[in-house]
Amino acid sequence: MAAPLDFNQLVIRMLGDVKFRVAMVKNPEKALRGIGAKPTKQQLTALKAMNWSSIEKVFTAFKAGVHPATFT
Amino acid sequence: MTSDPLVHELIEAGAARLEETIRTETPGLAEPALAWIRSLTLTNRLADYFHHPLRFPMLRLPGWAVEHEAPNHRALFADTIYSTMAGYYHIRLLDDLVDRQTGAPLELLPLAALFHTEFQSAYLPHFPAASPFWPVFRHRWLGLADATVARPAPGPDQAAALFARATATVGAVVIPLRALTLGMGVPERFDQWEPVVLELARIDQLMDDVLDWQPDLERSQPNLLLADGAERAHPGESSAAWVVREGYRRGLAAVRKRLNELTPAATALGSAPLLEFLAGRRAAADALEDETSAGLAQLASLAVWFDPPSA
Repeated sequence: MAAPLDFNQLVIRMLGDVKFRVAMVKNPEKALRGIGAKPTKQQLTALKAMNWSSIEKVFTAFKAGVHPATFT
Repeated sequence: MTSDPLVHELIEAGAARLEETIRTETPGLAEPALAWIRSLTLTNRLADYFHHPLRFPMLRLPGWAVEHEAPNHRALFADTIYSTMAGYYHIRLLDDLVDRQTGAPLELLPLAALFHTEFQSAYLPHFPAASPFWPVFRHRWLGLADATVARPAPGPDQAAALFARATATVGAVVIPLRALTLGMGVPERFDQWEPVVLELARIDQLMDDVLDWQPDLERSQPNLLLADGAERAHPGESSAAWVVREGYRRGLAAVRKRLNELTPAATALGSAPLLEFLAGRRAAADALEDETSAGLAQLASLAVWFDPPSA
């Protein structure tokens, strides 16, 4: 059954799953339904308006922090 | 690559010595032990873990305090680096096992005996039992062991408790600092360097937590950035939403503030490598903010549709 998705879950999912991130850029509704989440109309509108290249930079920076060869 | 050729050489030698000790003294554990150690680097080379320029300089930092004396005390310097490597793996092993969600398998627990023995016995040729080195060793090492299991509970005191834990864990680097300054005949430098080293340990933990907030959030681990968020987030606002709205920027600003406040004391020590290190950390914080500010603003505008704060 589709469930609402909170922002913590969304960010953790986007950070940890590159395929999910790519799917979000292509089709957010399909990507979210693929993980069992049911986005609202406003959420989909907001997702479609995103500048994904700037968001990709954020995830690259976040990811740098969790890499065991760099900071652990 | 480390900037100091002597330190680089001694790290390589220390890594080879530790690998050989593991193979010789604990052949039954050697295979999984070396596999775990190598899993901590991208290159599968033990030494590379300690060469990485962005890691806390646990092997280089004590040497900066005795930069001019070190080449004349090569055996002590080599043993100190070897000891610190073994000590690091001891801490890391226990930390991974306590954490239970990452890293070392439980079968490696007996390896703690090897790391502890090598960490301590490397100093035996240099300091007799009555040496003032040993009280510092004992106090810092046992304090670190106690801090390994500390998981400060959420609340207004959590940040202070996490900084205290960082002082006890990363701050154990004052053990090799004590060894080098005492053994090389400049004990007064220990008192001059210790507060700077301990503040660097706290800054390093803060930077680490700014970068590690997502895995810590996912695993419900205590984290300085998330502790700040718990106090400052709007009612109903998720941790991630607070981080992208203001937390990440606040965390980096706190790192820069502490680095700036430390600079006068570091300058007074007259160590060029130390000042270069501080400048490098400041530049890293600046670069992270530059790279992320536009995307964080985007994510913050998105967050309001996922968990709008309650009024």
